[in-house]
Order: sequence, then C-alpha cells, then structure tokens
Amino acid sequence: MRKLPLTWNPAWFHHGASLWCLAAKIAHVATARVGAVLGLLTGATEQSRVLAWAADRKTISQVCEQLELPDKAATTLALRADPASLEQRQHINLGLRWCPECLASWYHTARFQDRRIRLCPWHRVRLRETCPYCTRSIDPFGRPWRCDHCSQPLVADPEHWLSGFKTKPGHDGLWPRLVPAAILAYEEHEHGVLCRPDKDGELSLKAHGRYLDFWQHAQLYESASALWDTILRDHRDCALQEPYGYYPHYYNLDFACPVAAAGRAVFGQMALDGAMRGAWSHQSVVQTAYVTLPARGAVSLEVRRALLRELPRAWLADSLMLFGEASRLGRTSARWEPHPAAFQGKALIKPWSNGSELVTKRPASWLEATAAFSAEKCPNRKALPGTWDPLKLLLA
Amino acid sequence: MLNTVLQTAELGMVLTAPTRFGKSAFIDEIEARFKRRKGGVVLRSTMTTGHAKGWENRFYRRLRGEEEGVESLFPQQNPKTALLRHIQNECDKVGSPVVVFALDEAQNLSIPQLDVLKELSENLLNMGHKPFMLLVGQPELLRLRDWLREHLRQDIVQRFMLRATVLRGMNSAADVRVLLRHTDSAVWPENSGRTYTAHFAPAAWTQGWRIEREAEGLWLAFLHHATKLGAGKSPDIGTQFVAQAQLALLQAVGMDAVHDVRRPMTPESSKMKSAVESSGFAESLTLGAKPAEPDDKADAKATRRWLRQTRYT
Repeated sequence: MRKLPLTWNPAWFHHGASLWCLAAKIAHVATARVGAVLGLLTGATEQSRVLAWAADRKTISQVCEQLELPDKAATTLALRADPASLEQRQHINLGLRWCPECLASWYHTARFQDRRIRLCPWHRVRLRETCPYCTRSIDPFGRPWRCDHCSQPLVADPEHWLSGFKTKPGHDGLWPRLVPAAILAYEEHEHGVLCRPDKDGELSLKAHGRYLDFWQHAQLYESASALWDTILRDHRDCALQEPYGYYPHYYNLDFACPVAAAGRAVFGQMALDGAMRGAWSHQSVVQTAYVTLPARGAVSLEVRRALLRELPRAWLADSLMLFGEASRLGRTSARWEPHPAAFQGKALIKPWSNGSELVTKRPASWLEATAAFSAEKCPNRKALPGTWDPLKLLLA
Repeated sequence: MLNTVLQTAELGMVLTAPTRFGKSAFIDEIEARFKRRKGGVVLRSTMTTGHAKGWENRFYRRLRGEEEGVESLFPQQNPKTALLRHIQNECDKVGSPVVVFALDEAQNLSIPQLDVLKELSENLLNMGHKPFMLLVGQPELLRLRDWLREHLRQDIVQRFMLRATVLRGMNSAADVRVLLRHTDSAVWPENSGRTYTAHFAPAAWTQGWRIEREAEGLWLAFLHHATKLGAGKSPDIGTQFVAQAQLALLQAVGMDAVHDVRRPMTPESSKMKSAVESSGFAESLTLGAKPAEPDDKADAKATRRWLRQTRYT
C-alpha cells in the first residue's frame, strides 16, 4: 500500500473517535482542509461527503491499517449505515454536529452525526449543529474546527496541539448500549417520525438575527443531499451533464433525463442547485419554501426538522411524476412549479402522547418507485430486472 | 563519524562520492539506524533543479519526503508550518530533538534553497530541536562550497558545509572480501534459510564453493580493467559496481554445470572478465570522455575513395 503523506501519531486516537476527528487533527498539522485528508484516506469527494461519516468496512479497515489503529477502532470510526439507502441515509447529518465539551478536548464521535441524537451522552450537553457566530452549518470538509463562512473557530485555537491531541477526552468513549430516551430527538414510527418535545430547541440556535433562516436552509440542503445520494444517485451524472441554467421556474426546462430534470427543477426552486455538485451552501431559506412552512415558534425544532425533510421529498415526487409523464409523451421540455397541494406542512403534524408530535412521512419505497417510473426514458438508465414494474408499485 | 559530528554544535556536513558509490545505501543505513535506536528523525529527500513559481512551497514539501505530484492531491495552505509541525510530531514520537535532513543529490541545491535551509534550521533551533543537514551529492558539491566561499557566502558554508567527507569505494582485495563474505552468509530470499550464494549457485554451494574465495581474482580483474581504461593503478571502485559484478559472477557460476570449484578463478578467466564488464564500471569511466582523435590518414583515404566513387566520367 502506498504511504500517504500524512503526519500522524497513533496516540491521537481515543476510543470511539470518528474518522473526521482524526482527519481534523491531521489537517491541522498539515495546514490542509479536512476534505483533503478524508479524500486521501477514504476517497471521499465533495459529491460523496457522506463517506466521511459512513465509509464502508473495507475502507475503514484500510484506514486502520494506514494509521496503525487498534482493531476495535474499525467499529467506531464511522456509522454502520448504508449511505445508498434513503431509510438509513436520512438520519445522517452531513454538516458537523458536535458536543462543545467533547470538542474542547478535540474529541468527536461519528454517533453525533446521527440526527436522532440530541444530547451528548457523556456531558448531557445539547449537540451543536451550527456555527455559534453566524448560525451556518459547518462543512466537515472545511478547515478543521472552524466555520468556513465566517472563519470563526468552534473551539480555542490548538496552541498546544502536541500534548493536547494526546490528552484523553475525560470519558471512556463507550457509547451507551441502550441509548437513554432523554437524549433522543425523534424516533421512527410506523406512520412517520415521532418528535419528542423540545422547548428550548430554537434557543440553542440563537446566535444571529436570522438563525432560523440559515438553519432551515441547512436542513433542506441535508435533505437534498440525502436524495442525491440515494434516490437520484444514478442520475447525478445526467444532471451534471445538463447545461447550468437559472432557476427553472421562469420558463420551461429542456431535458434529456427526466429524473435529473425533476431534481434540478425542485432543488432550483429551493436555491439548492449546488447540492448535486456537492457544493456547500451558506444561504438562507428561500421564499418559495418558506411559505409552505409553519411560522416561527409555531412548532418545535424537531417537528420543523421533520417537515424540512419531508418538503423536498414531496416536491420531488410531484416533479418526478410531471417530468416522467412528459418524457413518456415524447416531450423534451416541461415546467414544474411548486403546487400548494404537493406539500401541506401543517396537515402532516399530529399531536401524540407525552407532548410528542407525529409528522407523517412518505415511505422511501414510494419515492423510489416514482423515480423508477420517471427514469423510463432516461438515456443513461441502467437495465432493470424484467419483473420490475414501477407503475404497479405506484398503484399499489 | 556522523555520531561525533552530531555531538558537536555543527549543523551540517557534506558527503560526496561519484555515482554508484553507495550514497543512497549510506542514507538508507543512517535512516535505519536512527529508526532502530530512536536517536532522532531522518527526513530524506532528493534535490532537483528548477525554480518554477511556488518553488519554496514545493521545496518544503520535498524536505518532508513527499513525492513529486502530491501537491495537487493534497493541497496545503502553509507547507513550512506543516513541515515544522511534522518534525515536532516525529521528534515527539521518538523522544529525541535530533532531526537529520538527508539531502541526496545536494549538488542541485541553489542559493535560495540553501537560504531556506538556513532559515529552517534557525526555526528548529528556536523550537528546541537539533537540526542537522547531511548534504550528500556528487563531487561537484565541493565546487559549490568553493563557489560559496568565493562569493562571500561564508554564512552558508560555516553552517552546513564546514566539514566535508568523501565516501570511498573499494580499493583493496580485503574490501572486496568483506562484501563477498557477506554474500556467503546473508539469507536470500528472506526467511528461506538459504544464503545468497546458495540461492544463485546451488550446485557449486553444495560442493563447498564460496564466493569469498574469488575476492582476490575479482579485485585484480577490476584493477586490470581500470588500468586498461586509464583510470590509474589504484582506483576507487564504487561498491555497487563490485556488487553488480559479484551478482553476474554468481549467475555465471550457477549456470555453469561443470564449474571447477577446486581452484579460485583467475582474473583473466572469461567469467571474471564478463562479470567486470557487465558491472557498468567501464561505462562510468568512458561515458562523456573525449572522443578519439580523428585519424588524418584514414580520413584522407576515405575522402579520396568518396571522390573516386562520385566522379562523373
């Protein structure tokens, strides 16, 4: 195996630490971006950022070999989730989530990236997911422990990094076998997402006058990235081949691949065109998306998060059907606009016991079937098994 | 000797030798010893010429031991800081402040690069490290030292180039014997339980033949060859030439089913001659040599012949 040009010390590893945690230390020493280190270690690119959090076993074992890590490290460096499955990918947060107490000792665990976790199990501190200065989400590929947008540090500058990186985080790094309900933000339910009551959710973000705008946009970006990584994965190249245009709601969108066009139309409406290319977004939520969401303070943060996850899915399904039908009729140009009936946020919320709220969601399989229906006329469509009939699935 | 120099306050030394005298092997050995004894960190790099835009950053990365072309794969904001932090970390790992920069092909170093080395050594001294620049290169490196003296750059000479050592090759049969003895005892392939000689010439080995016995003959064969090529009567012969000849000899004996193992080979024997010829020693002496003087008589004859052939009658 080729030796990587990385400065590393096995003493920098502490049990339970994430691959990002190690990469950030290496990047600090090498004055590089964390993405460059992760790219060398796992082959992750901006279009596959999720590999930083959920790399496959083979890659992780190679990393362990390269960095001379103990065998047990392989189980904690990344989340055990399939990044190609929407059911599993939807819980992985691309933007950094961290416990300020843990990060003060340069510690981060991949489990923090699971959106279902709300509190650090060791310090019982709420996990942060936005910059404490500008409220933008933190690109894990950016500069180590620093916001790429405002350049402010997330923790104190590691002046004494030589000894600091070796210092243990103050806990054993063992993740609780049974995660206490108190640290969970939401749970998967048969009909949707069961969001736990969260009174001080918005307060935890409040660092900027427009904190909710940036946070909501970040959530939409997360949702869009999850869709590009899973449902739209096979059509990302189609979308990249299309000429880059303005937001398509002003005129018809010429297309070759209906799935890529549907993705571009929906994410163009949300100012999330960059998500397919893997570009990090620091914008605020756009008006078209905002009007369909509940007003500030009307719902808890976790409910809002669930709605923001559901909104792009609903719009995408609508758009996929439109472009799919257009392509079946032999059209190469169509226009999709957000329709009020496509997503009605308030209607999806149902009160539940113990102050929880249930947000109804569409199953991932339905979205997959919609994409498959629309992909019928995609020029780069992969051969599907003969028994696969998306129309039948949709009708069912 | 390096140990002695490291004990002093000197920050560098020059080591020169012609091609294939084992300079790289020497650096390998230093690297291995430092690693084994945890006496310090050895950063090995090969110096190249050229001062394209951004050379300074590339130079720092090269000093760290990075290969060519890594820059685009792994961009760094500040390669100098990265190098200093790398040294801090490596020294911390071995628990020693000593850091040796083994710069191969150091004759290619330019004045700005030497200035960078000077600044770097100062930075490292301020950080509590003990840097040492081992400048290894061709004999032209000594000319660079003289040039620096003449052009009032004593600061660089006094810092790194005060002490100069020439790496000698083999200049006696005894030297060759040491090398050949090692061939008889070194295991090859690894963990096979066989020696180098037994691996290449198994039949002769079982009959009791040892290559060490051929040391005198091999040395004389080199000597004859050198005299014939006008290299003087007591030349220094690069270790790698001898090693190459020894390998050729082993292969020749291995392939010869009826090799006479009772007597050592003479320097005039065909095996010895071809082993010395295949070592590349002759090419190193004649390569770039002045071409042979033109033979006026032969030239005149050739011209007359050409005129005869092209005459229109």
